[in-house]
Amino acid sequence: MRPLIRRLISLVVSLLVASAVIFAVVDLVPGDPASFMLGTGAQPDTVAALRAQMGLDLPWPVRYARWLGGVVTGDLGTSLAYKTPVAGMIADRVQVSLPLAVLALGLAIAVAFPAGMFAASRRGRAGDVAVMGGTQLGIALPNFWFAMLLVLVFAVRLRWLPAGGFPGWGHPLAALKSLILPAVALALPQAAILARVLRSALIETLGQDYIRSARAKGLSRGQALRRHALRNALIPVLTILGMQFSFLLAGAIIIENVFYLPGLGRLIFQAISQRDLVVVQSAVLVLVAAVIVVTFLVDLAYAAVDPRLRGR
Amino acid sequence: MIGVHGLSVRLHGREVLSGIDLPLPPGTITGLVGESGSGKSMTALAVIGLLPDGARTAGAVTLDGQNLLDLPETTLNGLRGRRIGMIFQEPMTALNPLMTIGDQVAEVLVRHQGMDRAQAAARARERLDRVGLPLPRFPLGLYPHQLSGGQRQRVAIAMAIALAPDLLIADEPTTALDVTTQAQILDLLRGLVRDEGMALLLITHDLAVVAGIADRVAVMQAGRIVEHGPTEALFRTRAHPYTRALFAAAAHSPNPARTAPAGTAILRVTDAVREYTLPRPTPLAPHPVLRAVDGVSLTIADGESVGLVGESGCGKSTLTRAILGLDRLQGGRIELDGEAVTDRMPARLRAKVQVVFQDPYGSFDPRWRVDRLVAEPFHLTGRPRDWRDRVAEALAQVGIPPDAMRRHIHEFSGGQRQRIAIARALIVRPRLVVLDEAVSALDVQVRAQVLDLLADLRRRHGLAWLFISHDLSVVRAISDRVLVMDQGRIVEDGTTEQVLSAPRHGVTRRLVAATPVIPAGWIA
Amino acid sequence: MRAGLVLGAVLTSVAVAAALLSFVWTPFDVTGVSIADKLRPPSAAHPFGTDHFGRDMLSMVMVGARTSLAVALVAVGIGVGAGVPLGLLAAARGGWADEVVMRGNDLVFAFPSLVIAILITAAFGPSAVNAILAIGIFNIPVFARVTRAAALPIWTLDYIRAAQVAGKGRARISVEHVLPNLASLLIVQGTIQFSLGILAEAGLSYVGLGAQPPTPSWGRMLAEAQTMVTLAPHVAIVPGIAIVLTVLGLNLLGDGFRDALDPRLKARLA
Repeated sequence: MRPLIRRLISLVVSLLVASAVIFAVVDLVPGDPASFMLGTGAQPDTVAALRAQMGLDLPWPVRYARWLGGVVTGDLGTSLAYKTPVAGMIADRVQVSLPLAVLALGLAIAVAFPAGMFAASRRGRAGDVAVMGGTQLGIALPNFWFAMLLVLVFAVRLRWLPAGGFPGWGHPLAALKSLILPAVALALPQAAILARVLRSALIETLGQDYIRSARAKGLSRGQALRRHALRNALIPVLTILGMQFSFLLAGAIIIENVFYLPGLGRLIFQAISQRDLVVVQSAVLVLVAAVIVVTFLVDLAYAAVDPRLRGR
Repeated sequence: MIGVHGLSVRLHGREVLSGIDLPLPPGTITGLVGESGSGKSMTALAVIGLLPDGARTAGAVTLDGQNLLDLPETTLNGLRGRRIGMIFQEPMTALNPLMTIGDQVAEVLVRHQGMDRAQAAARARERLDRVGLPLPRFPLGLYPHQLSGGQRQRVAIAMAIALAPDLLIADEPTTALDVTTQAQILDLLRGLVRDEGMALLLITHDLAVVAGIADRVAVMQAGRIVEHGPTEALFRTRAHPYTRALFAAAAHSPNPARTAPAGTAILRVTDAVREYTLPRPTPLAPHPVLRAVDGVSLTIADGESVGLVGESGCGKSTLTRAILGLDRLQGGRIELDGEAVTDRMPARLRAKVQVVFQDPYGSFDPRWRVDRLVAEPFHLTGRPRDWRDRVAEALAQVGIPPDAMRRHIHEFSGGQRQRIAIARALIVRPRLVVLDEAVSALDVQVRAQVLDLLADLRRRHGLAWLFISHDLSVVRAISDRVLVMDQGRIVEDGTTEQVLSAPRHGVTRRLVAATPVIPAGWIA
Repeated sequence: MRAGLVLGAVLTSVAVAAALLSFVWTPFDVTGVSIADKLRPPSAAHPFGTDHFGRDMLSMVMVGARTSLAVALVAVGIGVGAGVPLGLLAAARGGWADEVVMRGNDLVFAFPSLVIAILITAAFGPSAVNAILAIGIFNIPVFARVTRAAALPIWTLDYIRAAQVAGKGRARISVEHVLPNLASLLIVQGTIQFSLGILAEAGLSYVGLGAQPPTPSWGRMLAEAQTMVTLAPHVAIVPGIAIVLTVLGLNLLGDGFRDALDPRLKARLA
């Protein structure tokens, strides 16, 4: 399994470089992080104590190595604001953010695939024009504004779903209900993009010679679309799906603020306002690592779909 | 039996086929010939019911007394692949890259006969054996990218004949293939018609192919069949003027008037070696090496015309790149007019060799105007003050009027583009011109004109030519001497007459034997 | 789809005209606070109503257009300025140069613009410049990839070979032959990134990582509107519609350009 090993190595390298970038930006900020955190009126000896506590008096390679060593062993340091382990805080928050992103991705796929296939099979006709018009609107929607509208309609006016907050997974049904509106707000604009990409990929593959061969074998248009075009169109769609996951994660950070969900995004903004850089650093690392791992998985999926990429 | 009766097709208000009559009796091969755009492929698509959206038909395509043109789409789906099969020109793209060849053949059987997987696989196996893809080399689990072009065309044929249809339509099935592969595929088709008793409609632009295989021939021009009859009789009589013009062009050989080459060498290649490293098969193994050019030596005298032939993959493209100074050698030496050719040779030396490429569409930047395109090689010599006059003069020499200078390349036909490419090659007055498959993409009549032009220019300028082609008949028409290349080596070198009439090396013999020719007696 | 192109051009022109006009004239002064007039619904005097400080929403939307368009435009400029040369280099040189550019791209791609903005804000504090930098940096790999992907097939064409035989180097060929043939594609991608930039700017300003008070911006207007959305829905709806229409206009324009410029999209066999 040589190609897998090579991809794994490249995954590890990407993670290392990304962690170095995050470390560099947060740790090497102009001025002293310790005094930055304590504010301008801090006593010099308080600053010095904090510096020693944070290990800031050590040279930066040592600090990076220590931080990285901590990350690998699951120790992300201690929050300066809450004095609790950052790893535990992040673990709590991921329980909200990850289900939200996954739910949104599933929703986006569930909407986009039928819509894209429908539009491609009716290319240029009324159904296609209607679906494409709808996706244009979907792409133009800022998800957080759409979220506000959803709250206005479904929470404030109709009272079907909660306007915000999260009861915790101890109440699974209520928890799921409180994730529905955020997931819809996240998913719809992404579904619009995905449907458009799928449609144009399908139209592109429908023009290929092997579709003509399939038709000459006696397959109907619909059969040729489903059996031959769809799988070939999946290749560009996979690329977009991988990128969309990172958009969904980023979007979730904003959406969590609309719905007051205690996810990773809310944690980051609280940390920024409290100048809790240890938390910012670790939370950002988790987000970026998630994106890199998803990219890696998409790479593997390519090989599963396309025999030409196997063994390469 | 299937027949076409008074078929007309209108596409976007324009009549593209008018009154086509074509019987397609079982066990018979019908050749449909004509130039590109004459409506050959459109006829085929009309027969199998795959015309583009918006096409309107009149007349009839009959099968068992039914008019296929009147049948609903679902009924046609049931006929396609079962009663009528079709294969296309481009084997590289005609198969689904994500599906195994076994599944693609089996799909026809599952679709039409509802076979289960095991039955369909067994039958697919048998059909692949029939088209010359036997075990153990060709298991059902292979993917198309693991096969060569000729092998993929065999898979396409297996798909089309899986249910022994009444009619097989083959649209330029060998145009994208080497001559030797072409001969094998034509043999296979001939055998299938004989064994299975199907009718074959063979569409081609190549009269020699038709002469060798077809029982009957129909000649198409501008959407009409102008002449139709048994092959030999039609070839001998050539009743219609268009047929005569087509045959004259195919048999055309430019006025020889060969100039005696001077004694000095313009190009001397000595022991040239070009290797490519391939990916390692296992992590610690060394990189395997492909020797694309393996110790080639050749000489071209000033004013001499040399043909270089070989099948695809023989190394001729790599050698050409090295001669043009686009690629460096790992061993040996190339000298142009006594100086070393490298990828960073001085402009003065580079100006002594120019090139004309095969593809008349890809050879020009679509955003540049003709004057700028033709003047591009002046980059080597410095653009003279009278460059516009020089461009006009070069265009005049190739028969392109000077008002072409301010136009874009898409406004010209394939033949005109190739003339403009020749003007571009000649603008800096090189001593050697490399013609890389320069007429392969042209229709026979245009090809004849361009070959005449090339012969004329050589007489006037005393140029030396290296004419690279897979097509022996073209090389025969234009070269003094022929080199045959195989697996990175020159395997034969001699005068054109000598090499083509008495080939010594096995590869040359295979090439000569595989090249289709119209029997000499037919065109007297 | 000519209608789409026209509609796109009209919507985009309106947004640009509103932004430009706001430099010399707005219906009301956006710095003037008039608590007595707060949260008025749309009326003849205030066609879009007023906000919680009694400011005219139409004037606010016009000035806000300035911020949104400027941030997105400069961010596209950063993306084109750095990404296109990198993409051209990767395609022209291949080998290790290609590898370095593409791996760098992958790395930047792992940082969504919001994450970049978070990092910059953590390091330097919030400002509108952060938004420009964050979106601009994210645009670089987008343009690098598009450029490289479109340049690679051009490099296999014979007219490139002809230019090489004419003694031209890779850099010169990239500028003379490759770039002009990419121009239409880059224009299309530019409009797409422009519209994405407007969305991203709105998002960043909404969470407080972009434009800071008192600079009006559509995203900030929405952030301020959130607590009042039940009292006066128009304060949330008006800026949102401004964003939607501008982004829609740019997308329609981009699609229209692509259809007009790409002859491949013309009818094909069904």
